[in-house]
Amino acid sequence: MTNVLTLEKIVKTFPHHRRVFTAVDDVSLSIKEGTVYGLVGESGSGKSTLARCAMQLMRPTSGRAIFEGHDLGKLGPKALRTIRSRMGIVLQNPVASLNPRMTIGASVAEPLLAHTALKGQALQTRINNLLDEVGLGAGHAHRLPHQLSGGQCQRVGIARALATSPRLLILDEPTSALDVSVQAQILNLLQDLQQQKGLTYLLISHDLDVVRYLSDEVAVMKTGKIVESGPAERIFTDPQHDYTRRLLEAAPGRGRPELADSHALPTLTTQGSD
Amino acid sequence: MTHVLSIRDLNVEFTDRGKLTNRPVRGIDLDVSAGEILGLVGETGCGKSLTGLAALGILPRGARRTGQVTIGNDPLQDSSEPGGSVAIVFQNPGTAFNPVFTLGRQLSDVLARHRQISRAEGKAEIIRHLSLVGLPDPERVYRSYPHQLSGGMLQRAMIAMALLRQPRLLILDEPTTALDVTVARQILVLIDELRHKFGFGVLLISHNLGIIRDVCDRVAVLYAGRVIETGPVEAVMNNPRHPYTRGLLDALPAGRTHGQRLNAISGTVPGNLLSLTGCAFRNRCSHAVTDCSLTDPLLTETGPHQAVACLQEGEL
Amino acid sequence: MSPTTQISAPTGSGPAGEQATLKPIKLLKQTLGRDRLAAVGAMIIVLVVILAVFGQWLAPFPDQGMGATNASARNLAPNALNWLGTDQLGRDVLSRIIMGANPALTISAVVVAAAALIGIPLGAVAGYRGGWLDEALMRVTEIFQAFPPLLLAMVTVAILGPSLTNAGIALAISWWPWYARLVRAEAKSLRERSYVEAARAMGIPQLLIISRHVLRNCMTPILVQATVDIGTVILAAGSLAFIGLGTQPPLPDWGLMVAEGRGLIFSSWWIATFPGLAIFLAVLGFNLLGDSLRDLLDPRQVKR
Repeated sequence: MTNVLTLEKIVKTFPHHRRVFTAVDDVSLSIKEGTVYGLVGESGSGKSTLARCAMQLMRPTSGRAIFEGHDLGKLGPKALRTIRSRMGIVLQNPVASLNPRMTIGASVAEPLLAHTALKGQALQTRINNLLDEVGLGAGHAHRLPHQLSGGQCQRVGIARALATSPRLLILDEPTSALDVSVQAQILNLLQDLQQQKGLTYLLISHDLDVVRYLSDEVAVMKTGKIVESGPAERIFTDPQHDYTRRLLEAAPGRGRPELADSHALPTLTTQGSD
Repeated sequence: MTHVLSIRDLNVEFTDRGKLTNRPVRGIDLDVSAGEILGLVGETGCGKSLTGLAALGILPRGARRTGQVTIGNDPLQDSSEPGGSVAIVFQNPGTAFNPVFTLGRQLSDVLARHRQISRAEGKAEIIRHLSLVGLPDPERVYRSYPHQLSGGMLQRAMIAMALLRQPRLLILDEPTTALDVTVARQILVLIDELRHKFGFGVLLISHNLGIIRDVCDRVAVLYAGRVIETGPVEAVMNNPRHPYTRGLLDALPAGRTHGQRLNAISGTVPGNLLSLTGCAFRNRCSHAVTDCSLTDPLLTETGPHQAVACLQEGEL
Repeated sequence: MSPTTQISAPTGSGPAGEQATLKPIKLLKQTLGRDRLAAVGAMIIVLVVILAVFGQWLAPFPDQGMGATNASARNLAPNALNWLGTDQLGRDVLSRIIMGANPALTISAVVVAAAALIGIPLGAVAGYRGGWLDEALMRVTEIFQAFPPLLLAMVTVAILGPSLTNAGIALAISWWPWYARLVRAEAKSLRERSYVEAARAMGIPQLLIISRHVLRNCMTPILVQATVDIGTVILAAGSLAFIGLGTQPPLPDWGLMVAEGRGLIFSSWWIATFPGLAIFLAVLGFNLLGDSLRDLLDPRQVKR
C-alpha cells in the first residue's frame, strides 16, 4: 500500500516578540492510501498548524511534505496549484467556509472551473451530481449559505472538497460546530464516502469520540510533538503515554468526578497554553 | 424541599411591530432545588439559552415572556439588570470581560453594586473568592488584564464574579464549550465542589450530553421549546423514554468505531413553531401514530421525579 | 449509489421552491418603505439627477442659466416670474441652480469613479499580499493624506489653471488614497476568512481570489463610501469654485453662485442663499442614502 502523504521532520516556528514560538516540533508521519489518519490534541497542540504545513498553506520552517511522491516544498506556484486539485479540505465552521455572496452552486463550481475544462451543461451536471452525493438536492444550488443550516453547509463544503476527485481529504474539526444529531449525519456521510471512493482522510479533531469512530491510525499531539501514535483501537483501549491517558480520562461522558478529584486543587496550566 | 428556581408555563415570544413572529419557548416547567445541579440539554434552537435568560429576567429586544419564574420565594421582576439572587456564567470567557480593565477592577465593580463594603475589605473579599475558585496566586490575577490569562483561568474568574453576588441560583450557559477537555473537566469539578460548599442551585445549559452526565443530578431534555423528558441523570441516560432522547444518545459516536453506522435522527427541527399542531417531533419519530399530529403530549410522570412528554410512552 | 440521509425540505418556513434572491427592486422598495430617511435621501437624489439630465428643458430661462445677462431685471426679489429672484446681472437664480446640477453631479461622479478605480485595485492587492507592497502603499497614501484635504486640490489647480475639469483632476488626486486604505483594511481582514483559506487550499489563482472573494465582500463599504463621497465632492467642488479655483464665470456653479452673492447677502439674500441650500440638500440626500445602503446591500437581507 502506498503512502499518499508523508511528513518528514516538519518544524514550524513563528517569531513571537523577541523570541520564537515553536508550533510544530519535529513531526513525522505517513498516511497510507485508503485509510483515515486521526490527529488529536487540545488547543495549542499544533495539529492545525501541522495540517496547514502538510497542504503547504503555510511553508514549514524545515522538513518535507511529500504528497503522491512530490516534494511539495520544491514545487513552483503553478505546479503547486495543480497538485491542489488532488487534495480537498473541509473546515470547521461550515457557514464561514463559504463565500456569503456566492450561491452554493457557484461555490462548488469554483474548483471545477479552476482545474477542469468543464463548462455549461456538463459543469451543471457535475455540480448536481456532487450535491446529490452529499445528500443535498440539486435544488439548493441557487441558494446562499445563510439560507442553509450548519449541517447543510458542511455538506456543501464536502461536495466542494470532492469536486475535483481528490485523493486526500483534510478534515479540520469537521463536526465540532454541529449539533449531535447533525454530527451523526455528517459522520455517516464521511464514512460512506470514504469507503465508496477509497479516499484517504487526515482528520484533525479535539473530540476523541469522533476520532475514534472514523480513524484507522491515530496520533496524539501535545505542544507541537506527537507523544503517541498507532492503530486507533490500541490507542484508545491501551494508551501508553501519560498525556493520552489524561486526555481519555478527561473526556466528557465518563461519569461523575471522583470525590478524591474534587478535593484536590486542580493543576493549572500557566497562561497562554489554553 | 426548597426550590431556588421554579418555572411554570414559561413562554417566550418574539414580535416584530406588534405581530407575533415566533415562540421559541412554549410552556416550560422546571424546578431547581438548593444544592442541586439541573442540566438543561438540547440542540440548537431548542430554546435552552432563552430559558436561561428568562430565568435571569433579561431577554433580547423584541422578546416577551409569559408564565411564572420564581427565585426562592420571590417572583421575578423584569428589568434590565438581573436580580441579585441569580448569577450567570457564559460560554466564552475571553469575551465576557472588558479587555481594557483589570480583573480586579471588574470584580470590584460587581461587588460594589452588590454590597456596601470598604475598598480594602472588598479587595480582600475578591482575593478570597479568586482563591476559592482554584486560581493560584490570586493577587496576580487581581492585577491582570484578561488577555494575560488563559481561557480556563478566565472561566474560573467568571465563576468567582458570579459567587460575589452570593447567588441562590447559578446559571451556566455552555460553560466549557470554548475550553479544552482537560480544563473543562477541572471547571466541572470546581462547580460540583462549590455547590456542595455553598448550597446554591445550578442550572447547567449545554448541548453536550457528556458533561451533563458527568456533573448533573437531574436533567431536562428540551426539544422545540418544550421539556420532553426529565429525570435523574443516570436514569435518563441509561434508559431514555422519549424517542428524541433515545435518538440523541444513539447518535453519539462514543464507544463506536467505523463499521457501525451512527443512528442519525432523520429530518430537521421544525422551523415555524407557531403553526405547529400535535407533537413537534412527530415528523422525525419512527414511533409516530396519527394521534401524534393532533394531540400535543403533556409532560406526564412516569416515576419518582421522572416525566416524559410522549403519547407512546408506556408502549415503547 | 444512494445518498445518505437525504435532506428533503429546506429549513425555514415558506412555500416550497421559494426564491433565493429577492429581486433588487423589491428589496429597494422594502427598505425605503421601512426607512423614511433613506426614502427622503433617494427622492432628493432622483430630483438632482432629473435636473442634471433635463436641466436645459426644465429651466425657465436656460440662456440666463448659462450666463446671458439681463440688465433690466437686476437684483429682483423672488416674484411670480423669477421664483427665486435674480442676481446682480439680472439672471434668473432658479435657472442657474437647475443648470448647475449637471456640472455638479458630473464632476462628482467622475471624481469618485476615478478615485475608486485607482484606489481599489491598489488597496486590494496591497492588503491581501502584505509585505513590502503593503508598506509602500501605506507610505504613499500617508503622504497624500498628510495634506489638509482641500489644500492639495488647491495646489494642483493653481498649477494646472482654474477650471472645472482641473478641479476634478485635483480632487481625484486627493481622493484616491482614502479608497486605497479602505480597501486595504478590508482586504487584510478578509484574507483571514475561512472561505479565503478554502480558496487557497483549492489552488485558485491569487488574482481570482482577490476579485471573487475579497473585493466582492468589501463592495458594501466601498459603495456606501462612494455614495456619501459624491455628496462630499459636490461640496468640495463648490468650495473650490467659491475661492475661484473651479468653474469660472459666467458658467453656472453652485459654489460660484454663493461667492458671487456673498457681497449682497444682506440686501439681496436670495442670490447666495438658494445655491447654498442646493448644495446642502444634495449632500444631505447622498448622505442619507449612503447610510441606508449598508443594510440594503447585506446579502443576509435575502430572506431564508
